[in-house]
Amino acid sequence: MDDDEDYQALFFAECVELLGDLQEQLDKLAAGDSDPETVNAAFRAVHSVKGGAAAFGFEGLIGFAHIFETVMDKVRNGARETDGELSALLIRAGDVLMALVEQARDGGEADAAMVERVTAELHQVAEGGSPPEAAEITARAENSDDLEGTNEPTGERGVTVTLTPHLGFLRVGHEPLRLVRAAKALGLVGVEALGEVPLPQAIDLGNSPLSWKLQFESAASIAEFYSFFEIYEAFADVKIEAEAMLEAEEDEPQPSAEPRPDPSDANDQTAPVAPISAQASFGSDTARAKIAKTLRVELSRIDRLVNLVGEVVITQAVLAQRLSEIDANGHLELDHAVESMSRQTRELQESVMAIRAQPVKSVFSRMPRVVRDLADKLGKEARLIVSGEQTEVDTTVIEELAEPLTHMLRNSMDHGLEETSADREAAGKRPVGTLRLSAEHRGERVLITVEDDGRGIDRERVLQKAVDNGLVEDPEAIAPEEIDNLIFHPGFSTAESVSAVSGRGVGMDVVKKKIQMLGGRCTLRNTPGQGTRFVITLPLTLAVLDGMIVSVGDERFILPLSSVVEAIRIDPETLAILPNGSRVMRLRGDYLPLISLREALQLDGNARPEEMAMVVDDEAQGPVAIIVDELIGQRQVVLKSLEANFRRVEGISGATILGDGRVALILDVSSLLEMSTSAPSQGLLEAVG
Amino acid sequence: MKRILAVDDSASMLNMLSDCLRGAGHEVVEASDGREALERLRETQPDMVITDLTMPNMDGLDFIDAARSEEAGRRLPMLLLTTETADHMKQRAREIGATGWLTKPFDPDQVLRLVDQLA
Repeated sequence: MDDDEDYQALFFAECVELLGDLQEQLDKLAAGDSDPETVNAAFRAVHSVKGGAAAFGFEGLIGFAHIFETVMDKVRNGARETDGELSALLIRAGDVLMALVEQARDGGEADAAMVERVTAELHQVAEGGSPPEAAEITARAENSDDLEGTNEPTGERGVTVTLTPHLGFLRVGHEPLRLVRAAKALGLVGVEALGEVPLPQAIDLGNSPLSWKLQFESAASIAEFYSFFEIYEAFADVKIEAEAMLEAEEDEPQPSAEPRPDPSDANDQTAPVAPISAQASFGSDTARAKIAKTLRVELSRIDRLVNLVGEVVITQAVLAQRLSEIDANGHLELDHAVESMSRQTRELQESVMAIRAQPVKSVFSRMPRVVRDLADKLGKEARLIVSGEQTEVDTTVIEELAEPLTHMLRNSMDHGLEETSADREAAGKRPVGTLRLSAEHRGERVLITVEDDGRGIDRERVLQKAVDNGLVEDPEAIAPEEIDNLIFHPGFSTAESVSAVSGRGVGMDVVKKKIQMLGGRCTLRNTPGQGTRFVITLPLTLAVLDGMIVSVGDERFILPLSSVVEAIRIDPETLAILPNGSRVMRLRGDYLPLISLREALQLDGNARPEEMAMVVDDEAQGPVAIIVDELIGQRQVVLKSLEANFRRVEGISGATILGDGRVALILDVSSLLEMSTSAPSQGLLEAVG
Repeated sequence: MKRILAVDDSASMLNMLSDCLRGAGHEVVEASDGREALERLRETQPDMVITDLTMPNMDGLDFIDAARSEEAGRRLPMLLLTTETADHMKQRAREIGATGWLTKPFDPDQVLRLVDQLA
């Protein structure tokens, strides 16, 4: 079944991660790390491998993982001190677990003698002893005929399962009769109720008063029993005891004998599951070897690949350009070849970028906890609704997102939501505050929204604070949206007293800076009384972008295609000058603010008037026309950081090398618009219309 | 044949689970989050619930918690299907009265067997 294989592939991929983690934790333990979390993490890794193994019926793996887990549990709850000897054993056990996982995945054989020895050593520790000396083990192994649970199941045997329900066993939906009915498939031959039947008045419908002793005659493996009864373990003690095989073959000692755990071991309430010979149980799994594998690669190697592909893209562009210069007519075949090369280069680039893409889920999934903790700390009630977790973004971006997102949620919890549920109800809202975190693809960008349904930004207070701090000189001349944006100003914090949650000097300016560093933008929409919405837009990748090449004088610039709505040849009749001196362009009945790139970047003006208007759409300002001399064409360009190689320049997000070898600057549209003062206010526009 | 309420916000996971159950002749009622599941629970009175843990609006734990106080949810077997195996999660699941949990990726045979065992 295909689905099954997919799941197995996933399981093995998980195993590789878990085992890598396990190794790391065990190494730390061996180095004397006494942090309980180290042991916990190691325990969890073993436990997860066991869980997966149980789901797929890898019996040898379950058995070994179980005894390993038992020992880890003892270490975890302090029943067993870790010394050098034990750490060494645990590391060996980690190796064996790895070998068994590989065996389950690829077929082949793990080193049976090693598996056997380590299993025996683990049992020894589980029973409370020290890891035995190697010589002792060998002796045991040779004398293993009387040990059970290791032979190929060739016949039936008796298995006794004692199930003692806890309080609430029936209340959560367990039904002993159903259990008995289902257990028949496993070879149930008898049921006995243990304990006293309670007096009628003591019967509580929620609780089951008895223990049940279930007798099986079964050819099923211990793992199957384990798997069958696992579901009851949350609300019952389950004890599985197996007799020796009724028809076990005596003449051939099996490779992985191990001592049977002492049934009187009080710490081990669940089944002393006998590890089953890896060889015997994996025979049938070799057919599963053909599964998709995943590979963990260092990010730096992929980065090198990305860079190289970037260079190839540039070279390809140069090549195409040169070719067109040499000979415009003829060489059709050469043209075709260059054409295919450009297509392949693009595919190559997309494939490489796809390697780096990851769902934002890894960051988003941490956020509900952040909100929960904050809600506790602040004494506010809030819930977080997360959507679009599967949206894929470049790995680097994802790693860098956690901090700004946490900060934004913190801001929404602390400043956004009303102080009490009563305040909310008074405002006609539901008592529990709602935060929303969502991600979606929009064109070549990713939109991440953090939204709350709180009281919105208190503009009066923000403005007052800004005036007090000397950020604003003339409070009359500032538009409401500009007030909102003051919170992004470095060092600005509206908290009247420094709160334990936000405040502390880290403001929204840090968020904005971080997002800009990632090539993104952060805008906010404030609806006083109804809430605040922050929108982060990020590029999908940090390495390439589709751009329009435009020229002003002798200079070439790149406008990111994602922000260009349309390109229009300027008709002088559509231009108008407003009373305050700024210019607008009429387009299908609307007036668009006009920005001259020449003026904005203070380029030397030859008097030639601009001929082209590039209409760009900005989230904050709506459509704006940027006027340039000429539109040259559309091209995919490789981003080179200007900051890393030169310094940050306002209005410019980076640079690239064009096909003819010239350097062109890439325009950062939103910062360009912010820089430009020519955007008139709404009122003036209406006056013109 | 049993009626099973399957809850998952991921359409593909939900399909997979439903196909598995329907394939064995069970009737499946689907819901994509806890809140919707609670409505379906009241309307359809299922024999068993299998729910994802992490979902928008109302997660699996909150759903089971709420369902336990519904008439239709009393003594109903309700399984959490989750990749989460942390002990505190299991502790919490136990406290609110989840019957048990299944680890993702699930094994169809195991799911069907659990339906036989519990429903």
